[in-house]
Amino acid sequence: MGESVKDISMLSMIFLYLLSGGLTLILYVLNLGIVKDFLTSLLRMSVQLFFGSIVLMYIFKINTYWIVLIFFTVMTIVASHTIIKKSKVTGWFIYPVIFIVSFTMTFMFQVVIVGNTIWYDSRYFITISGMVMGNSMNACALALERFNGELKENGDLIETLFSFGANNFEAVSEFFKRSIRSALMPIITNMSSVGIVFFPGMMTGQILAGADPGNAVKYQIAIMVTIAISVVLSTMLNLYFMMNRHFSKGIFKQ
Amino acid sequence: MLTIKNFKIFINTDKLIDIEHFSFQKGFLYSIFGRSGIGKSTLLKGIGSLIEYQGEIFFGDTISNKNLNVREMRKKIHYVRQEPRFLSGTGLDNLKYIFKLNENRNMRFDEDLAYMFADKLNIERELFYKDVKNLSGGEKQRLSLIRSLIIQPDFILLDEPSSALDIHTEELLIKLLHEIKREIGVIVVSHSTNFIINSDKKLLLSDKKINFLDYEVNEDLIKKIIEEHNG
Ligand SMILES: Nc1ncnc2c1ncn2[C@@H]1O[C@H](COP(=O)(O)OP(=O)(O)OP(=O)(O)O)[C@@H](O)[C@H]1O
Ligand SMILES: [Mg+2]
Repeated sequence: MGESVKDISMLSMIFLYLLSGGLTLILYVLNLGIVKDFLTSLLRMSVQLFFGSIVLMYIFKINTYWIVLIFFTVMTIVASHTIIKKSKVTGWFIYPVIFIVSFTMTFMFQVVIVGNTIWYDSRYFITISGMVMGNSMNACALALERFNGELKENGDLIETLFSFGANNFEAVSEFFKRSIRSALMPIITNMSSVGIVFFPGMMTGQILAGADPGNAVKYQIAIMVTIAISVVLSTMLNLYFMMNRHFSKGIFKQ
Repeated sequence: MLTIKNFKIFINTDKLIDIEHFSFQKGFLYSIFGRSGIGKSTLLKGIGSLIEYQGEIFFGDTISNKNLNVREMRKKIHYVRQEPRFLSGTGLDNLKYIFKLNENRNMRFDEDLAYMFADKLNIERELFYKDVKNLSGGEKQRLSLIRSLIIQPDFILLDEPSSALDIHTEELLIKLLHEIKREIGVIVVSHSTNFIINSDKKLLLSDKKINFLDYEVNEDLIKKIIEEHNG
């Protein structure tokens, strides 16, 4: 990838934080009630990215399969935990689903699409799996929350379908579909507007780093398809396991 | 014949129903009454295999919940809710949908049968083409009954089927139930004294049990009986 990106100087960083301070002041004056949220998020972002960069530097230097696996496992735990917290559902199945789907899809991207012979090449594996997992995480949280909400609200309809001989899946399939649809909407919207309304971070980054836009576009298409597949697979699996939790001995439990 | 044996239902840890043995025959219209909150809906849902219960439900001499799968049980001994629920779409969509379920793949939707029941319940055919969400409470209640009758269950368990009907339409319903009771056993939970008086067997649910009243009742007596068993 040609020449490297221009460095941002320390002075510029200080300037950015000063700007953020100004923004905080405006938020405070407008009394929007989000000053605290904004400040904690700013702080979290700064700390997480700072330590993230140190960890990434370390991992890229070691670059062995076990360090990649360890880091990937930590990512899985954090992502699954976030899903559980956001959607307010419990289920140990979320961890293996996120792990297996993200791993398989990243592996596919890395080995089959890009053609990298070292599957664990951390510079790719960690960043790509991060994108795959992040999108799956948001979609699963959305889908699971929606699904549980729908089941709570529609217990009487589910009971009615049961009375006509519906099996577990038939009784909830309508809500299953609705939840998957709502989880897929963001990525579908993204796909249709990419390149016109916005240029995604990965592509922008590659172009800034001096990559040929044609190649950056190919990467972008590859990652979007990979993400779409991961999102569908992970939401479907998670909803399937969630569904089974609502039934015991063939009887619906809200 | 439908027989329940050692039939118990627990709600949380409270025992709400405890019936040693009770048989319902086809050919009679059964009415079950009792004070509000005593467990009538719970009993019907239990017999309809929609909530957890202990014990056995026989129908015929040999077939029971022990050897028939729960989906088949729910169709044969079929519970109909007081406030019906539908999928979005028209009435006809909802009737047809039932036959798309995997369990019902060998059955066929008989439109004429549906219209026959509709005529008897004073339901216009146009109503089948209306969006269900625009139907009145009484129309929904009758549409839901038609939906349940066309799967031809062995016994039908009706939870306050006339709660949204005027007295005239209730009479039509009672008449229809008497017509079908030889093919489809009919067990009705009702608060309507008219319904109870016009049923063949009057059953009082109290003390966790079904109590058969072997004497004639009238409106005042029904009220008195419910009052006496209040508490
Ligand atoms: N799923 C449930 N969770 C908690 N309590 C329940 C549940 N289902 C029923 N109950 C309780 O069990 C009791 C019996 O309820 P049920 O609906 O069977 O009464 P009912 O005799 O049909 O009353 P009504 O004449 O008002 O319809 C009530 O006290 C009700 O609150
Ligand atoms: Mg009731």
